[in-house]
Amino acid sequence: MNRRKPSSPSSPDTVRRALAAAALLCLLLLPACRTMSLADQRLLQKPAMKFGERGALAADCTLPGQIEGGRALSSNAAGGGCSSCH
Amino acid sequence: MKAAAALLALTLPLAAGTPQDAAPATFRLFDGLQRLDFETELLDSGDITVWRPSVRYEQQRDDWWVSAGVAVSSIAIDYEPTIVTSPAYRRAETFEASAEVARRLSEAWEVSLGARFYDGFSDYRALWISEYYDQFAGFLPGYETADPHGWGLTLGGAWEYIPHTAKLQAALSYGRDHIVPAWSPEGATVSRTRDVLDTLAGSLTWEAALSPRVKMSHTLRAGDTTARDIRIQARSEFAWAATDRLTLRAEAGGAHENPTFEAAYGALSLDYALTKRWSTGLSARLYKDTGEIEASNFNTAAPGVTTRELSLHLLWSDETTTIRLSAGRLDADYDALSENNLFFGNLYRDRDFLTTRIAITRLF
Repeated sequence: MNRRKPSSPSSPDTVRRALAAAALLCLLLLPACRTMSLADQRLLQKPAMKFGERGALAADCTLPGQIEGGRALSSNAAGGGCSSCH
Repeated sequence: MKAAAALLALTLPLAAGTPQDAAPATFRLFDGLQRLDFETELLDSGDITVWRPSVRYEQQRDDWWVSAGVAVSSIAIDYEPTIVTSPAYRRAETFEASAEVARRLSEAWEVSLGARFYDGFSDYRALWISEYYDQFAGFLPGYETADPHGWGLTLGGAWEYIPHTAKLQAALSYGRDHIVPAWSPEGATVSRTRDVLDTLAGSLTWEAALSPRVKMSHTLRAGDTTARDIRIQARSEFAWAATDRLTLRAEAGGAHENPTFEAAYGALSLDYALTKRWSTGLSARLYKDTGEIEASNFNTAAPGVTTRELSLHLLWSDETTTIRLSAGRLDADYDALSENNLFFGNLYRDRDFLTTRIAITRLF
């Protein structure tokens, strides 16, 4: 399907950053596995505490994604509509 | 007598009310838990204006969710060339539609399937570049006016391994985009670059509560687009209910794509509940990427950019309705252009944008 350009190897800095991020996430595994009682969840259910919301519960405007191409995790267009854009 | 009495005892319950006597259930199209989202967003720098109103409907019945949405983006540009071509005002509309269905398979598992379609320019850059080529090569035999459009499918799953506290989500998506190609003269005619891009992408999201006051969410995405290297994107978010009224959020993320594209951003925001119904907040974000420059006669790709955004919001909510108003300013500072993309110098010049958003969510 794709005719990919020849790849360049990732820089050592990028690999180190990725490994550091993965190690940091592993530290969060233990506290992320605890069970919360209903009383504990009172503040967690606040709209300001929720992620991935839509409509009025979503905090961000989507239009800056037209400028910040590296931030959008989903987009209508793969390349921003331009042949060599990203 | 005894046999007759026994037979009567058996038939009495049937005579009292058989299933055939019950009124048939009436199917109502609009039923269950329903939600409507109205939204309008604006990005405006004076010579570039993008306005996007949208509406989305969602319904939940038993273990099923369905949603559908439409949006119409209006993009207007005051096209200003740097070399060749002429100034022009141009405006175009983009129509978007999406639909999704999801089903809860058990207490912990859920699957979903979504589809989207759009017809028109996906952003103002595509419209600007289309105007350039319409003027530069539109008179040459073989030239075709751009007709950007696309569609996509997404298959998703979620596992809530700790109810109401932690979950893992995965998604696989495929999309096809017909984009604005680049044109170059070849003798008496013109030739164009690739104008169809296919993208296969997968993402994984981990969301969990670390304590009764702290939540986190981490997303990792990999996307493979035609004729490009794989793009890796990551984002982490944290939310902290510092007090009953004050919530602080932090976000950081980045992207990497060979050979030269890298992006990084960070954001901080606070939300303060003034009363039971009203809250307000402030957010700030810094974004930077390296741009991607390809060697060619001339190039549509953007140079590196740094953006700074500051915005305020006001929120009103009760049991069924939430209304959000937000306004902000986004400063976009581009790196210096090379001789290869000077043609688009006015597209990639520094700009200050006004961002506004009005959103209403109604449950019923």
